[in-house]
Amino acid sequence: MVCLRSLLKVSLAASAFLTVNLPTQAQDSVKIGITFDAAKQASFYSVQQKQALEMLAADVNAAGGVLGRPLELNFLDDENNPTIAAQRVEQLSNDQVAYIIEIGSSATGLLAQQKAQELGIPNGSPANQNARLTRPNLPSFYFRTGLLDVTMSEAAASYIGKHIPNAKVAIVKDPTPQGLMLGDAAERVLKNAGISVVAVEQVPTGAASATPQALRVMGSGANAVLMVAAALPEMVSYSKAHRQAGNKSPIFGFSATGVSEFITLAGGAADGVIITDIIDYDRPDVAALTKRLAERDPNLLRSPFGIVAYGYGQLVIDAIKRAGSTDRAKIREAMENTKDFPTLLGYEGTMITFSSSNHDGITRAGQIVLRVVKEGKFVTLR
Amino acid sequence: MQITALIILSGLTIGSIYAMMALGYYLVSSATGVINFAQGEFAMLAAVASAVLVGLGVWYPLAILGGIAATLAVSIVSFYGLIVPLRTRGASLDAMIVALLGLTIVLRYGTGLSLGRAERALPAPFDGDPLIVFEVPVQQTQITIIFVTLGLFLLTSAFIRGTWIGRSYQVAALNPIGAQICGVNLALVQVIAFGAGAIVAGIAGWLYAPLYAATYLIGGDLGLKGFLCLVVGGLSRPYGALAGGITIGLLETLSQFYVGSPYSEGVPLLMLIIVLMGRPGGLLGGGHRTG
Repeated sequence: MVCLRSLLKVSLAASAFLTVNLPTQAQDSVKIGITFDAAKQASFYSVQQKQALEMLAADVNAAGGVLGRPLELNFLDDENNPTIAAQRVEQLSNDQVAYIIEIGSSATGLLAQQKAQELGIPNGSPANQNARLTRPNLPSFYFRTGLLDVTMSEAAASYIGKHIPNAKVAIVKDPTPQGLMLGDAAERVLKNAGISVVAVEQVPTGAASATPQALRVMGSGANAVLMVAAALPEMVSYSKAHRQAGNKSPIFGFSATGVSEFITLAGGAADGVIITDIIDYDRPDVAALTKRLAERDPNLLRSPFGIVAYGYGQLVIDAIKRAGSTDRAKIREAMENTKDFPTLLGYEGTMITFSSSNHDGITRAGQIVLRVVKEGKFVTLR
Repeated sequence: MQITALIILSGLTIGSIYAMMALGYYLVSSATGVINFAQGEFAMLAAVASAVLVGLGVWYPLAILGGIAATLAVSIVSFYGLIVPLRTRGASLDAMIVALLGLTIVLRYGTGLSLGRAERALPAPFDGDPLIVFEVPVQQTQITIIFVTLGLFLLTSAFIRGTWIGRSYQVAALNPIGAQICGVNLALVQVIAFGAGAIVAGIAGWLYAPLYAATYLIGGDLGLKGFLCLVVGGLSRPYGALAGGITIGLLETLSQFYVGSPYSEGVPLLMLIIVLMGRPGGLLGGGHRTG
């Protein structure tokens, strides 16, 4: 009986201790919320970004945390569903996160961003490309470093303008919403740059052969091809058909083709493709990070997603430090005042600067890295 | 001349893949009366599993056999786990079809979760330099696909006409009770049908992946196209699947070239409507069999 009473006392004391101390411990950490796609269509790049952010949190905590407090990441699955993404933002808001990073698809990002704006939570994405994301609200709480369709198109247009006299370009896209959006942006930018667009072709989803598209491109008289698709296998099909048809004109690819899977899948047909991308893998800091990420997951070797996510996380941590607190309004202001932040993106020396009228980190063609596939390897063009 | 030849070759290649998918549906439905909508996912599973095994350094023929064996195992488990219990409980064909639709989701995302979501490369069985036939570059993969397809159809035809299980096929679907009275081992015929359908889908997946990619999302489109081709060609005989596949493959490719890609995606559906209006039993079908 005495024993039971003692046990009860100890239990009560322990419960009281935990009740008092657990919430304090939770309040002590700086929380960042992350919406991601765990298993659906966007999960391939979403999960890679998640792993990079987990590594960043471990690095930050090993170096003493943020504002002298541990960094805590709160991941919630948005199921690649915009409505669920908005619910997750609300959940994260209730969980008192200081910032929300959206690493799902652009479609889920749109609703998540609107909800975060409504709740006054600074948020953003390392990779989302939809132009509407940074336009609707001012003062916006949304910040991103994604490679925009317009910027990629400008970089390609600039290279084509310099290297291909009397350029006549064919645009090849895929029918996904993202692919169509990229195609429209590319056509607009090329035309504005005074470059003639002689064909716009679409490779159907799941196409095992893009021979008809490749033959139409040949027939159009194009002397350069811009593959702007978001879907990788469709562009692999096009590259193979382009070579099989005997077309010698150069192919330019957007960042979706800047992954090692493109070379693996396309084989010899990848050789000579010039890619507008955001990562210079030859940079010593990028190479070191890539190595560490690949040790964690071999899929992260030569994958841009881990690097963009890690770089974005660094930007957010820096803003929280400059804000000096986890006050959301102060963090938003600090993000907006980011000036010349050295980033892992672009060629060495590329800086990120936001302002009250610009929440896009990568806005100039000069920030874009150009790479070419040579004998089955990416080679950065200097 | 060269352009026309390249387009026809491309259409025949794609059409052959569709025809194999349609044949898989035929093999299952002709013996069980069930349209197995998980056929596309069986093709996907064989492609992804083979690509994983190749990536692990397994000898190519063994990796392909391993992928197809995995698909066969899943199909047999799904037969005993879904179809047999539903049939025992007196469920309708519709209930079985819905259960198999559910299986497609489980297989698709289960494969993504367990084997990864990355787009994997699966090498083609013969992938050397293209052969030049009358100045037309023909990929060795394309020749392989067309010949394997023809071989599969000949084999199926011989199996259905030349073996007692094959002859039991249609009787089993038309009148299961009568077939049993005549001594047909219904359970055996049906499980063989499920297995044969899965093997054919697995072969289609193996040959499709080198042209595209091995990823957990390829099954949906393959499954849908295969089903459409079977309906267009006719459900009542195996060569209906071949006719449907080649017709749709050629029309799709020709319309992509002459009309443009954005409009060509409706071709299979348009073809389906036209054929069903004129010949409800399909191009080679005598009459529609409901099972």
